[in-house]
Amino acid sequence: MSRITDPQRAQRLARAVLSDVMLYNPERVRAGIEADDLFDRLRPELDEARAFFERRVDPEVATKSNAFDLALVDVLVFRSRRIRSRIW
Amino acid sequence: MKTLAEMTHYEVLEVGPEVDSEELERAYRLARSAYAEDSLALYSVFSAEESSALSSRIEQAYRVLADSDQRREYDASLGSEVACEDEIKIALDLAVENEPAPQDSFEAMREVTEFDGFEEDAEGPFDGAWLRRSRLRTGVEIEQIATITKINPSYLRFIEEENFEDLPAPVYVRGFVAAYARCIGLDPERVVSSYMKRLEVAPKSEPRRSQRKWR
Repeated sequence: MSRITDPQRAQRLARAVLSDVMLYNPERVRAGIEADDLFDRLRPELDEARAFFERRVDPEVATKSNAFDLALVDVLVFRSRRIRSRIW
Repeated sequence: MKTLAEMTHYEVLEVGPEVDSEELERAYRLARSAYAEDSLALYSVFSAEESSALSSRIEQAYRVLADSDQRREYDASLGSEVACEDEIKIALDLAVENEPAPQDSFEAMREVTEFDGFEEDAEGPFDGAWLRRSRLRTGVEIEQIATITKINPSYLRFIEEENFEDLPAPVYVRGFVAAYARCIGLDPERVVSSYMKRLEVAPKSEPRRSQRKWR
């Protein structure tokens, strides 16, 4: 299996994977944002998603682009910005 | 459905009239990447000319909305139309807030949500889990397919889950699956043919989950 070496593709993959985590776990995302424990609450899913991402992306590209962590904020956090929480 | 020319700048960038500069910037970047000529999601949907027209329209919309003076003039030209859209948006937000919580749990969904063992497999059967793997492989989000195809994202998710019970009549599913397949660069005919066979033999009384794990 060839790994992704294009940073933009890596970014797209990270966003797609995390978008799925959000799509398939809407109530837990909401609860995590409300209680400010999103990353603990979704730990198994996020670990699984990260492992999947790291298997598909060239390690150097994954590290340099920081795509997964950026997508965590862009997708999981930013898209939840309308949920009432003491985070904001 | 409105044509590109009929859409407002806000509709082109899929933002509300109240959008702030930060959100506008994000929406612009997202639209630009989603509709780029080399976009994996679109290369089988739009011709090069259509992609170019879309890109120009996105640039035009962003240019106007990013400039406060031009935006003020533009808003004034829209007049009551913007106010009306505001009301619709509030109604939609309320509808979303009041929507009952989905019944799925991660455990119940595990066979389709697992990421382990994602590998290429070019041959069918093209079931829901296979479609999802293919989608992720191309880095396309469900929401992006929904935006392009105008299909409700819940239906796209049900297709991946093989939740046939909650999908509409087969004639619609056929169209949805074809559009989905085209969006991620798959051969719609092959995918539809394989997927619809699974739907035909699925038990009618309860939702059926894909039996295939991520491989």
